Amino acid sequence: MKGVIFCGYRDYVEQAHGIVTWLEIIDRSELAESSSFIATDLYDDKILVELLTIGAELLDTELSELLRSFGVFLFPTLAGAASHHMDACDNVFDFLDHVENVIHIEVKKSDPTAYTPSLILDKVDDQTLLLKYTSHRQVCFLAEGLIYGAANHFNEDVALEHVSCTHRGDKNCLLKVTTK
Amino acid sequence: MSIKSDDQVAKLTRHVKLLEQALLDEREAKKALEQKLDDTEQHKFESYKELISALKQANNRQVQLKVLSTLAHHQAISTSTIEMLTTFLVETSQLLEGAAVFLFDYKNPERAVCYHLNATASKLERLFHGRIDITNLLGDIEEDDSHWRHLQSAGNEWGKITKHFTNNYLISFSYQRLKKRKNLVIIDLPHYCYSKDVKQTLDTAAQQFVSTLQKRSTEEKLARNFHQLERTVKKLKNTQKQLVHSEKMASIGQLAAGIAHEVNNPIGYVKSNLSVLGEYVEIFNKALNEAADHIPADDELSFAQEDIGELMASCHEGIERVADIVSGLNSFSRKDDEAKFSAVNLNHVAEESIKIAWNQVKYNSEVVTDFDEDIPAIDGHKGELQQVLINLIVNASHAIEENGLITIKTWSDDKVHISVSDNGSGMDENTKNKLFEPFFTTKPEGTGTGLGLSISYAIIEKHSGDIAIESTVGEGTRFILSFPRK
Repeated sequence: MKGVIFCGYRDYVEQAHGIVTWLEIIDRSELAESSSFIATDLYDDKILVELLTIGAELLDTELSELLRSFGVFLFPTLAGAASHHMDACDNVFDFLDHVENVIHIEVKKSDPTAYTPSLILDKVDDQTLLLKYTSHRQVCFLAEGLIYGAANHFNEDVALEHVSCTHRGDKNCLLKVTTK
Repeated sequence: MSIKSDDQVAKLTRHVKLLEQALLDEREAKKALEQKLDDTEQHKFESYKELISALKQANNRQVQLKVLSTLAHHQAISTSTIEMLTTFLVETSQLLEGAAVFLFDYKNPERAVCYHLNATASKLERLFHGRIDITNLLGDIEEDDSHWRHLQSAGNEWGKITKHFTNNYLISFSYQRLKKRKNLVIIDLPHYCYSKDVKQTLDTAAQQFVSTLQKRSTEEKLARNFHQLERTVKKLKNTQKQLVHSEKMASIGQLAAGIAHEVNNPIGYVKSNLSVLGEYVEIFNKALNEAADHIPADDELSFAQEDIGELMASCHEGIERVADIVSGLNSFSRKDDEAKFSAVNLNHVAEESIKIAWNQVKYNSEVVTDFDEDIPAIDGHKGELQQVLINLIVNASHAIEENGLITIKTWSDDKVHISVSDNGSGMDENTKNKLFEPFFTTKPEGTGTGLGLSISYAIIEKHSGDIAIESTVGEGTRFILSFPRK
């Protein structure tokens, strides 16, 4: 996982709950070697999963809910890094059509052979989009948050339905995005 | 203590603030460094981005080409359209992770036949016994568009097919299968979230399938037209052959009629004069006998008196033979009306003909019959038909030297047939071509007139029948006569 996500998570925790909470999370972590992450480096996925799980426990919230709100927070950071792609889009469906370019570019920059999640979409009609999320990290809730973040960015109101989810034993995660 | 503590707290707070500031400074410095690093990586990435993109594209194209070439191969080797269609549907289903495939075959959407693909058995199975109305189903589908399209589920409006769709998403495409027959393919799947390359592959596969189908249809149409043309050419050739033959026979008939007419008059008076001459000879003989005593002995006169009777008899015989030939020529050329026609059973005709011809045939041949007792009657002249059969049987025995076998067979289909076959010497092509011409004969001079088969031909033609010959030199000959049912 790219360091920028770790930095984003730190910023999110610090802004919402203060630096001490962040340091507390790092203190409880067994995998994190430092409270500081370098945005351009790649880190083990397990570290982020552990930090997120500790965060949810500490803040007494569901992991899925934490991931969602973290996604919303993270979106502008990622969008800023891929502003030339963002400029080509004027709505959330357009953005999702380019999403792979936006989210993967950051990882591929550090390591062109690095694993990236797959987001494949199908436009069912003008208001409905179906999104298949495939990642061994299984952080589909983060994807949900990022979609909400994208909707905020384009001033659109979207509804998300997790049609199927690997966390519920389904074969893959299917997200139905409906614009209102 | 408290003053000291307050100082300590103030000191610690200041330390914290300073540390916080230091932390912020460090973070800013780190961010700036990260940005620099990021810019370098971005720069590096830009240089190999196109290479990665080209590699990715090449990999995708490879997969796409593999699927399309597999389909093209199947389409090329499939012997039937249905086999090609099944393979295409199976491949499509596999590409979509085993999605359920439905096929609707229809001329009229109100009466469509619905099939379900059994991918394991590579078979299309009927979903309902009867036909179903798919008018509502077709409502949203663009006609003849060989692209896969989303189909909005309309619930119960689609009738009993609805319950067979188990997923939320349906994609469809339709195409013209034959001139008036159309097909609609519907795929029922949990989602259609596939990469653009996969979707493009599916569209290309569908277009490729439709093109192959149309090409096949054109080829089949061309092949049908070609066969039809071949049949027509064959028919034309036969008709032309028959026409030439009929024309030739008609010309010969006219010639024969002319000769018969011209020869008939002189024969008439020669025959009549011969009778009178006979009477005159008798008078001369009587007078000579009475005056014998007064006539000096003369050997030549005696010889002439004795020979004149034989000469007269020979002349009578000769003129009778010429008269027979003329009568034969008349029979060949005459177009009698059919007033004397009645229902005739060819089995009876054959039996009586065998009896009459038996005396001439019995020395060298055995006659075997193979009659279909149920043959229908034909409209004809029994005597004339007998004449034809006797002629054929006698001819057959003439073609046989010894241990002959003459087989007479009757049968019927839309016509009534009788055949006379022998195991004699057979005929070459030249003989077959001239067989029905008057005076054509293979027999020694003086044995036959060469009119038998030409008269038979005229009789068969008068009966609106056909005559066919199968003959192989050294093996035998078979004459097949065919007549219309009465």
